[in-house]
Amino acid sequence: MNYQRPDLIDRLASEYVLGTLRGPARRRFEALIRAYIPARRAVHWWEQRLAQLAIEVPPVTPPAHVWPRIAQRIAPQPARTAESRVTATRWWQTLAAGLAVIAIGLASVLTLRTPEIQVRTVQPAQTAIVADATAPLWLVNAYPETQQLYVRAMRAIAADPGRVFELWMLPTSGAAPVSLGLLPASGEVSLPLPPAAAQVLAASSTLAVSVEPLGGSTTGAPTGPVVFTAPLLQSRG
Amino acid sequence: LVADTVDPSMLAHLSADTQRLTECMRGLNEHQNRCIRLAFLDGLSHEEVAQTVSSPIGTVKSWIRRGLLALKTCLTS
Repeated sequence: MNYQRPDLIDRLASEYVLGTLRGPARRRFEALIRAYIPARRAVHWWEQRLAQLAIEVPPVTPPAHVWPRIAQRIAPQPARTAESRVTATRWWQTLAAGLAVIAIGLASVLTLRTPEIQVRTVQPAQTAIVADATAPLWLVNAYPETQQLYVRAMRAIAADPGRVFELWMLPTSGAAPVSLGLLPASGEVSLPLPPAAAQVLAASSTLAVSVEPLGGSTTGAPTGPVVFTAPLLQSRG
Repeated sequence: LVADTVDPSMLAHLSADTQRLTECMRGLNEHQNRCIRLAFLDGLSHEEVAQTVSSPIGTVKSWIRRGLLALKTCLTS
């Protein structure tokens, strides 16, 4: 099948979001979404539109036991103590508070689950999760003390052939974006975070990801399209 | 659930996006509209939609495909 045809991409994206694209065709299209930005954009477009249909569905309040069970599954507590009940309550509020705060929640879940991060007792100074419409793509944690920026690919994703994803910080002052380095297609990397860059990062509230030629932008500024942005949390602040 | 169950007085309170989609859904023919709702809101497959509306699966697929195409045209016009 020729996935270069925009009309075909759009038809597959619409049936993917509608839910009628199933079986091997759905799995093939999911692989395409990960690898091909136009497919991802088409899916996002249809998700934004068709989601509006759900507004007609009357809301249903879930039974009280549902949330504690979800909390237990995503962040198991050793025992049902008074403290763990407080934690569950806080999770609720965290979720309701929006994406930015969910990022902290996810980061803490990952910290619990991932042995190599567990030994790191220092909390990152900044945290961000870069996500597309459906799932987190990269977790970014900054450790200015050790001049390191840890980036973990949470879902394998590659740019188009001959292209890479580059990470930028956008200073709140409105100054030009500053590169933080190239994003890994999979696994975890430690990028250098010199003190000057750490200062800019501490004064930024947004990260952006652009598509660049192999090796990254040579001009010091993004040259390709910005495909993702993510709120940056000043997590010690 | 059909689009007409949305009280017109409520439309003013809905976002422009929702209002636009509701209008475009109304522009579809009855079969396209129903099949798209059954698939999206009830999570039915082509086969299940075909059983629910008692029509051949090929016809249902065509209704959905043309309905989505018409939606796209309406939403981007």
